[in-house]
Amino acid sequence: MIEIKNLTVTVNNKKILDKLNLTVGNGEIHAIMGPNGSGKSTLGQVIAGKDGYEVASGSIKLEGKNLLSLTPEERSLAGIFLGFQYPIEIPGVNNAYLLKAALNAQRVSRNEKEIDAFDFMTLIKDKMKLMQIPETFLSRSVNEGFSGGEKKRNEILQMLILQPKLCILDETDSGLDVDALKVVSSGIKSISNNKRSIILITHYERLLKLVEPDFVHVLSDGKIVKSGNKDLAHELDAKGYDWVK
Amino acid sequence: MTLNYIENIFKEEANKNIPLENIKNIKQKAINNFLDQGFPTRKNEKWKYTDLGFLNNRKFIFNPATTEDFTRNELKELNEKVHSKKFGVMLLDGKLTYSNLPKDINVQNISENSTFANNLDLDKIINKIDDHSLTSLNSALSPEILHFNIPKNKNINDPIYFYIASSGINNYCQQPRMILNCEENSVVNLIFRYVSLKNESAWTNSVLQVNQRENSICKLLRIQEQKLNHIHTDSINAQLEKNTSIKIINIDLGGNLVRNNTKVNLNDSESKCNIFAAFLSGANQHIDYHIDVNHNAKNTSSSQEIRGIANYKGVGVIDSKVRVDQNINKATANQSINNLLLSKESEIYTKPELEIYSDDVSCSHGATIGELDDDLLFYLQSRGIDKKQAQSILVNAFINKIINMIDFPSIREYLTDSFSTLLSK
Ligand SMILES: Nc1ncnc2c1ncn2[C@@H]1O[C@H](COP(=O)(O)OP(=O)(O)OP(=O)(O)O)[C@@H](O)[C@H]1O
Ligand SMILES: [Mg+2]
Repeated sequence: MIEIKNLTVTVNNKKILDKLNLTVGNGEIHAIMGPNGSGKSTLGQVIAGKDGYEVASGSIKLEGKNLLSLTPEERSLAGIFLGFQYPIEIPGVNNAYLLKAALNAQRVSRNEKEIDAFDFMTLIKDKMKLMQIPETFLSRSVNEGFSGGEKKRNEILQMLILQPKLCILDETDSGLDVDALKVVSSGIKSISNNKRSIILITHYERLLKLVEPDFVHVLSDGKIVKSGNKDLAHELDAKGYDWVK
Repeated sequence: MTLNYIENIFKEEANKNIPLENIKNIKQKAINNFLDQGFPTRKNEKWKYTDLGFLNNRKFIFNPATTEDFTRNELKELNEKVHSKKFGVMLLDGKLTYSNLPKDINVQNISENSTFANNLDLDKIINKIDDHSLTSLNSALSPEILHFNIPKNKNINDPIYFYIASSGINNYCQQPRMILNCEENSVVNLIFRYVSLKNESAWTNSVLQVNQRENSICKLLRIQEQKLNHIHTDSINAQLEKNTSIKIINIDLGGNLVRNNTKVNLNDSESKCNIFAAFLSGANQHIDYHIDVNHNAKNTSSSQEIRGIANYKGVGVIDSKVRVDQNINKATANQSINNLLLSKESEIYTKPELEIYSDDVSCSHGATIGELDDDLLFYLQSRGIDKKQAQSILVNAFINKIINMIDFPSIREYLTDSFSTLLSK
């Protein structure tokens, strides 16, 4: 699915990712853990195409295609989805409008016609129920005044609607209560299949108990310093990061 | 267009076209006032960013042209639009060409109806409004002074559309003049649309006065979409009596050089005004909003919410002043101005001012100027929305704060589309 080779990224001449290598196969679930400030979010943002990062060397390929030359919207249309660690509030743009615009952008890029209002509602109703987001949220501005947990569930809702090939979820589990964690994980599981790949950036094993990863990596100082299976997450939970750094 | 040139035109007009002695008098006063001041230039603080001195070098034609042939198709289209409205009024080059008003609302051309004119305090309603020299020019040279009377207790829910059309012929200056008299307990909803038929270098210099008697409510939406070669200067002047309210929404999308003066005098207690305004100043446009709200009585309130956008080499100006006189207790005034620059070359000058001479007053004001937030753009793009559309979504979100104040869904939709179309150009 995605192949990252020797990726070095700097911001204002400060090195944040350092010759990072990561390959995620089709249908695989990878977890990326690591101390604060180690570069996890940066990796997600660079894959999604955020400006302001300089890719000093290396490559990122999605299904063999060079991602680095694409705009963020082209990457999204190619199948990348980033669930933001801090979903941003967009006053004045309502949730339904954004979901519809995003979905239509995808349909237009596939030469399909835009979805009509009725089909759209049918499509999102079940998914909203699954994410336990009340329909009143559709007419509210994107993330504005949403609680931390509501923002995270809203990110998953967007993912369910866009049906991406590669989902990168940056701490979508942080700040969730026990019930919300279950809701989020059932959302993730509902679209997980043997074609779709998922990268879970997280600090906690509790998510990984609900959505079992095939691989767990530790990112430290911009490098993947250790990889293993789900037992590694358990070990990190118990022992912290010092022993792997 | 030297002042001499204008004085001569006035003399010709006065001899030919002004039958009534009292009208002659007020027009004479008005032209004297104009000639004393001349065109406003940047030497005048209120015109700091919009210097009209260049008009001295132009020669405009003031008497209504016979334009039918040249503009026949455009005129036909516009007429159809006006006729399709339940209530509609049309002015072409400053002259009333059509009116279909609710029952009991009548319109009089003060310049031609002597009995009607004799019953009015013309000096007060025409000469004393002295906003600036262009208002005087309008008083002196407008071909018709149209007086609309909304009678006592009349409550009109359906909007009345005023199409103020310039033929848009080269060097032609139209000077529409309208006076709205809202009697006690009346309610009206008015939509003014400034348009032009041709895109030559024409000038619109318009004055709209609103006089509100006790307990009246007036809602006024002004949409200026004149052609991009046009000069547009206009004044809204509202005088409010006891327990009245006015809501003014100004939207400016068109014109090359635009100056809108909105002045509201809260003359008696429990009078209030809410002003909303938004412009998009593109490529070579210059749009200047000048707002004056005067709290002249206790228990008065005012609010302003203004949003300006400039793109390409567009220039915007927002100069807004709220004044609370001495010994005016319990006045409330809020002023909020937000601006958005969409390009490196665009400029917006903002000057929010509160001039308060009383203690018992609650006021707030704030002004911001910014660009589109990169993080917001990225968020939308990361959902597959292309950058241009993302920009347009965010600009709409910005402008919707104003558009949403409009009562009519079809107009809201129309304006949202207009903003988007102009932005995608
Ligand atoms: N735009 C930027 N300007 C300056 N420094 C930056 C920028 N973006 C990231 N960094 C720095 O890069 C480092 C990695 O940040 P990043 O957000 O990727 O960490 P993280 O692993 O996601 O941490 P956390 O677990 O706290 O979310 C941090 O030291 C951060 O301050
Ligand atoms: Mg992070």
